Amino acid sequence: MMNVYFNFYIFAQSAQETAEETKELLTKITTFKVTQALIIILSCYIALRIIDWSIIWVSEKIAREWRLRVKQLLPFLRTVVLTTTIVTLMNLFLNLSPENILAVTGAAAVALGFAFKDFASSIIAGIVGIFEGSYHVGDRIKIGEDYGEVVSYGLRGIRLQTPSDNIVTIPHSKIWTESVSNSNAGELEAQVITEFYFAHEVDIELVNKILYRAAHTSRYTQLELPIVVIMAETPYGTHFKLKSYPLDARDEFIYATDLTNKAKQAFAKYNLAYPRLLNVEQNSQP
Amino acid sequence: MSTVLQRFKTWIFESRSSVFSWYTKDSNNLQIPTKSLVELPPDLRKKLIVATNELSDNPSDTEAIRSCIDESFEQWRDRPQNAGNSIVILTSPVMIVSRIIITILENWAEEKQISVKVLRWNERPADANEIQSKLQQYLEQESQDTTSKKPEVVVIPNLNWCFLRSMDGLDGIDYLQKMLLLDSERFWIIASGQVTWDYLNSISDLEADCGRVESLPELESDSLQAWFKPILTELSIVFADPRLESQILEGNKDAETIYFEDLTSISRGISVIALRAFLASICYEPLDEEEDLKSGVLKAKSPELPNLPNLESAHHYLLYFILLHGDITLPALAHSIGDKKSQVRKHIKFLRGEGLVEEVNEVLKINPIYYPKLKQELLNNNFIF
Repeated sequence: MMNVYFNFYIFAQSAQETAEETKELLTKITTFKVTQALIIILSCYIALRIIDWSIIWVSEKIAREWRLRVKQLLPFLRTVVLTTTIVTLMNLFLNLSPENILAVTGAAAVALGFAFKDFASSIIAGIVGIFEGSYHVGDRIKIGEDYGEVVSYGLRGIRLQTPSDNIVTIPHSKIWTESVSNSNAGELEAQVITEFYFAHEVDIELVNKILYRAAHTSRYTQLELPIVVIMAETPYGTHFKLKSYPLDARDEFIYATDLTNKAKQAFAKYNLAYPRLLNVEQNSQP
Repeated sequence: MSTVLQRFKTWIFESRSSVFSWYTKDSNNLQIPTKSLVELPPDLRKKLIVATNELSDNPSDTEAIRSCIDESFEQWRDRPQNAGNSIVILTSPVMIVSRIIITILENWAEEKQISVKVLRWNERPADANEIQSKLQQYLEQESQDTTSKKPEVVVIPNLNWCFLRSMDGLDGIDYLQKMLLLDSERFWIIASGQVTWDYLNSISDLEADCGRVESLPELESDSLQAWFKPILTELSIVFADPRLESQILEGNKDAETIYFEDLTSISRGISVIALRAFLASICYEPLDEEEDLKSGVLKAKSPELPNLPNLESAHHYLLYFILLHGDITLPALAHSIGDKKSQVRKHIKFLRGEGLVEEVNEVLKINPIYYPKLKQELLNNNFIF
């Protein structure tokens, strides 16, 4: 019986201590403070909108060579605004003594750990991503099955604009588990590989000349970067890869189309032989 | 130090013009290159145009080209096996020096006692497929005419006409490259635009097969002043007070000196740009507001370059291709860029309307006065120069 009373006493004591600690941690909540907090949150939202809009607007208006650099400011500025807002709100409602900061951090960590595990993981990955530089706004990246241009860098994830003009949202936490393939890594140009297949007996020198010329004459080609043709023998024919860079990575698909179009017209002119899938032909015969 | 000051001066002029235009942009207003000429009284306008048409090529340009040709030719004649058998003269892409070269070589052949063969093309062959065959026909025909293997000079006054940036338009350059290496009995004089040269060099290392490559030097303000003297005297042109920044930077110099220093600075020392900027700076000022137009004077205001209109990516490609080819017809441009003629025509209509592109006898050219700013715009958009 004594034990029960003792335990109850200890529990009551501990509850009282927790209540006192919480009281100590929280400042007095007044209508004025709540109004201030609402104004701060609203200002933060407006600031984020203005930053998003102005950075994108400026980056699309200025010279192409500065586009990516300006866009890369976006996640940094968003982080600054969000951090400032959170610190201001904490300062408004909490007594931020060193002990209290420790208590809040511990409590927040536990709460986040259980309730918002994935969300917290994405936020931390987003912050790590800013310093690691796995991707920036304007980069053309592939994460998992998704490929496209990073058009926004949010708190939880990024948005990719795919070649078919879809917007795909990917959480930052993907960088913990998935490989990130970045085509241009902050540069304006990204390599484009255009592939061609020919029969084994094709005139290799002529094909090489045509492929180089297609790259040299396409309006999209960045001639200051290397243009290379590589080839490989396969069981069904000779496989050529034309590796070159467009002036702007955004033009990669139209560039590959232009190269293919130019090259195919020349191949038709010289009547070059394409590979023949013998097995398919044999199987299709009655 | 003087280069830094020069750059600073140019930056001030250009920034001023851009900032000013930001607040005063009116799409209904005429652009600077045409504005002031239209506003001149008709008789004075006519006189001014006649006087500029009669202006000979800038003597400094002529002298620079002559000395380049003489020096490299003498080196080749003294040591044909060791010295390079060609001289390439590079100019701004808005400047064509074929007329200067042909004038220089009129008496030169007799003076040097050597036969000179000039590729007398006035334009690029209409069919890009025929460029190589026409070049071959011309050069091999000429060599058959010579019964013995005597040294000769072959002149290509405008390399821009020997190629088209298309799948079938570069065979002529391959052929020329082969010929340059083949025959040490021939000395080649080639003139080309800088953009053309950079392009051909990047795709075929043309410079490796050529001897000496010289860029036309920038003109000095004294040279420009002397060149314009006949027009200034004939039309009694006076000079307006210089802009404040020019007065601060130039000190106690007189208005005419400051004007020509400013003109040299904005035109980058290129005569054809200076001529257009000069024309754009001339305005008419009546001596008495109430009297008739005949009592006024022509006044040269501080020269400035017009701002570029807002350009789209498609315009950048077209403008770069026109600069690359120097001059080009619309069908050839459409073939080269790989777009439909109607699409190209639509964009060219806009560019002509803005004054960036000029069309003379169905041949498109960049208006020289826009070249300095256009070059910067294209550089900013990742094009190579």
